[in-house]
Amino acid sequence: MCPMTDESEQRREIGHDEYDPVGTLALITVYFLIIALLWVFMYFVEFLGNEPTVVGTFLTVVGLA
Amino acid sequence: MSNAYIDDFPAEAKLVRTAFYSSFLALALGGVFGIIQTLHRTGYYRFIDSADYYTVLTAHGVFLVISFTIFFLVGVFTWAITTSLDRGVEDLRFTWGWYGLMAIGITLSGVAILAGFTDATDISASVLFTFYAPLQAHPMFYLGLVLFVVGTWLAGADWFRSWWAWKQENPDARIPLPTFMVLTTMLMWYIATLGVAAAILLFLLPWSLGLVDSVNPLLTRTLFWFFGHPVVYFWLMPAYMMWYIMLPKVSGGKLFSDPLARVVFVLFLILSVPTGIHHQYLDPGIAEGFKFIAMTNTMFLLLPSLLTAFTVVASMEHGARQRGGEGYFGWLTALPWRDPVFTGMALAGLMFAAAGFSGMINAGMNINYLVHNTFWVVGHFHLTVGTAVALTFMAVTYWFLPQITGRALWSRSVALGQVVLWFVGMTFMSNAMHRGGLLGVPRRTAEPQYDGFEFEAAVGSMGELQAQIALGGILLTLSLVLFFANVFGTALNGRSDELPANEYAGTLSGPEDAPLVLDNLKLWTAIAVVLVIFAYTFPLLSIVDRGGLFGPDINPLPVSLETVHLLAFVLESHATGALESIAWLGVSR
Repeated sequence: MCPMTDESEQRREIGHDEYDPVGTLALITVYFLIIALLWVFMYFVEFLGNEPTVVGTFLTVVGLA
Repeated sequence: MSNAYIDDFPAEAKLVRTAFYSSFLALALGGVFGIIQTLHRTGYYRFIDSADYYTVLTAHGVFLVISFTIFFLVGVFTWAITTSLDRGVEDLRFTWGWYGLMAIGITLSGVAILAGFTDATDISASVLFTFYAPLQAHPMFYLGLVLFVVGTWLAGADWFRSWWAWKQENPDARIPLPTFMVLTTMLMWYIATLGVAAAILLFLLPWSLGLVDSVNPLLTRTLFWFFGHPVVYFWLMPAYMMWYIMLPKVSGGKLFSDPLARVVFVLFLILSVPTGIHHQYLDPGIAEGFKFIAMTNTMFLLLPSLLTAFTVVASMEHGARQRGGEGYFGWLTALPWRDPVFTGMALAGLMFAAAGFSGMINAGMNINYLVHNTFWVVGHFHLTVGTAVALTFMAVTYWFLPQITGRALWSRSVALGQVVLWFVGMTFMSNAMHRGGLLGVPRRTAEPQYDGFEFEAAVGSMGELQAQIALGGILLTLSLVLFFANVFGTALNGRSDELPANEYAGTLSGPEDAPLVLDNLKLWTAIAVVLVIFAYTFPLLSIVDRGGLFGPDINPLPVSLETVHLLAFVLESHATGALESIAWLGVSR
């Protein structure tokens, strides 16, 4: 058995105006780069050596042919 | 005396506890079937007949994504409404009524599924979680699902009733954020479940009862996916709610923006339903143009998820900086990684970021052709519902258990080990599933091995992928064992007077910064309905036009786009016919 201890050891109070989430920007930039690289990688997995898979004229797109 | 939820709302705490325990029972059953099928599929240990694999798969799917998730979320939503409005439910009998209906419903469906293992009865429902035609289940399965869904509808009515009563007393106040999240989620759910209600009541149940000879499989598939995509947001939005209102608090900070959170939930209400056709990119019989509309709507859905990534990470960072964190990445070390509630949710969010990428692949119309019906898709949803949702639910359970039982958590260390083990197990299992899918390994297959054909991996080997999946499955099972040890251990603890208070996160930018129009639920519901009409009217009419309401086998109906009134007539006559045959059955018995 162990008691639920409160881990929130707050050292300072940061209000709305003094808070600048640069760390979030940094993390999301990293995520964006990963996604972009994977997107480039996808080209090799999907298209290299294959034809594009969705083809159609206007008529097939609107379901008339 | 503490200020835990059970102290303020003892009767409601009992309901939330019961809903959670129901959900955990489903989690245990689903977990058992999960490890059986993992070992069977990978060929490591096969003790069931491969024909029974599909019964196992159905049980794994239905117990986990219907009962585990939805019982848990009705508990969370009841907590959220009562806590944020600071009032008990309006009528406790009604509340227990909807819980009872859900419990009876899922029991009927569950028994129908499990009966598939024995030849003693002819009852079975091995139709997988995606229970559309031509797979047919015993009527008990469909009836159970109907009762279960009606139970959730009544639950929603209960929460709306609380809100209306609260509004009478607080006419000018903004809707508290947790209540806002519950209400928008339920509005989305009401629209979404119309599809499954129509599929079951008009087609699958009459078909299973023998009242009609056949159905139009594409129509039941389309109606299923009308519900089948938004249901994933029904699982996800309670997890989002936890990320918005609990994660900032356990990080030691505040929610970055209440208005952004409202925008996200409004976007989910609007965009969740008119996207289902993206599950049917490979279905012949739906024109590419309609699929393109569904793809566009789906890509718009990335917006609320990316907004969430920003808001939730910024809220965590706020906590980390208040705890003394510094630098671009250094703040990450100031987060409370020893707290299982935090770590579980943060790891769940990390997995969800990976799932975002595989989801974008699934959503792209042409790239989807590469992974459609492969193991990739299974890898994807084990990251979303299997980790983002399930791990978040398990992590917040460690916060909720003391609140609803009045007992201290049995072991925080075991809890921390549990959430990390889940993350590690799922990393092995899911990445191997994704890679297997790229090699063309099919999903929903008991024995994915073929004579004279080998899947060839560019990196690694099939054996390595199978080993990773089996290892991942075993780690996930161990993680579940630790989870249940904590649930039981906590239930056996004595009552504690030193529990944390029942609170959720404050906000840096509060509801006063949110435009009033965000709280206009009627407006958003109307827009959602209009988008659904745009996305579905023509595909549905064209499916009926081509295949008939009840399939091409019996009297194709002369329905066309020009004769919509005829469609109404046909629907009416079929409904009357169905009613007459029910009455006739009653008389003849």
